[in-house]
Amino acid sequence: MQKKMKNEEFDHYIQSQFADEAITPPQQIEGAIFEAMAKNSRRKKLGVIGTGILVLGALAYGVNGTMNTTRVVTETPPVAVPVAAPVAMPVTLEVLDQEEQPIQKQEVHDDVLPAAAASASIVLEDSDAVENARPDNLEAVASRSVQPVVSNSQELPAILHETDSEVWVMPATVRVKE
Amino acid sequence: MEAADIHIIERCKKGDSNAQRQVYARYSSMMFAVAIRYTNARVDAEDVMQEAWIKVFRHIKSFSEHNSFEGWLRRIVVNTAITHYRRNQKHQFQLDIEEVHATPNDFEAFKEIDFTKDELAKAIAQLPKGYGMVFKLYVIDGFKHKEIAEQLGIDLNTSKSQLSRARRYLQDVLHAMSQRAKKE
Repeated sequence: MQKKMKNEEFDHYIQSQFADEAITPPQQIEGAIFEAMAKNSRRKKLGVIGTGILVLGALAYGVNGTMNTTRVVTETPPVAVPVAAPVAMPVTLEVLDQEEQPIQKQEVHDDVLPAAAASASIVLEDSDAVENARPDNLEAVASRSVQPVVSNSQELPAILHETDSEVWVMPATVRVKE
Repeated sequence: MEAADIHIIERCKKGDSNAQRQVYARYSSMMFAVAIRYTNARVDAEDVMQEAWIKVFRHIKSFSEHNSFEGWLRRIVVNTAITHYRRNQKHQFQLDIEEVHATPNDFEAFKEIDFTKDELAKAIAQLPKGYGMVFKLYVIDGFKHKEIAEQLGIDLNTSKSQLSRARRYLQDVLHAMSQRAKKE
């Protein structure tokens, strides 16, 4: 016997029929699921370890880079001081020692003191000239100030050169105020 | 939810494999039944089942104890089955808005509802794929048309149309089954 039934009633009837549905799955599914999960877990752990190694490597590289940069910065004053100080002093002292001797033409060669020669090639003609020149020289020395070495750390990788002896050399530009 | 269930779920959240196996033992039959209902094939159901359980344990931390755990599991297996269905979908749904309005509101059914669950499941399994998906989602699992449309990637009216067709189709199937039973 057929009778009209509202959609909602029929839906409810169907829903109630399937409310406690249960079918036992095959045994092997459980094994496959937990095996897949264990594999995922192992992969995850390996991923974490790999990421850790990468992070440590990046950190070590970063620290190393920072140390190199720091060394360059701290080495800058020693580079500047010896270049500026001997520029005039050795020349002047040598001239003082040779007061009684005939003054010979002295010239600072580029290959001896390259930085000094570039900025101050001092030529002395005679002792009078030396006497007269002394205050000037001293004044010149005194008036000289060391220009700080300009170091651009951003350009550092580009200007570093490796020599055969595995010593890293940084070409430096030194400006001495005249 | 009982305190014991909450405790097991908490252990699962910490990755305790013993707790995971307990949860599996308790709910796997329900999950497998849902998977079979949506796939109509044991092999496919096994795939859906496996994929769904991996999702369950991977996302169990997002489960809130204030909700029904069984409902949450059911949603996961249904969504996994839908993904599986869409992946294997050979044909698209056809939109027929006119039929939505043409479908009567009342369903011709049988007063003597003496079909067993297996018979009903067989009848539902005979529904064309598109109809069947919408019918199962709407009637059995309580999805709204909007959710069905989103999940299946179809229009809202298509979902309504498919449901109406499914009801009519199921009516015919059940009627035929009833006639056959009477003859026997």
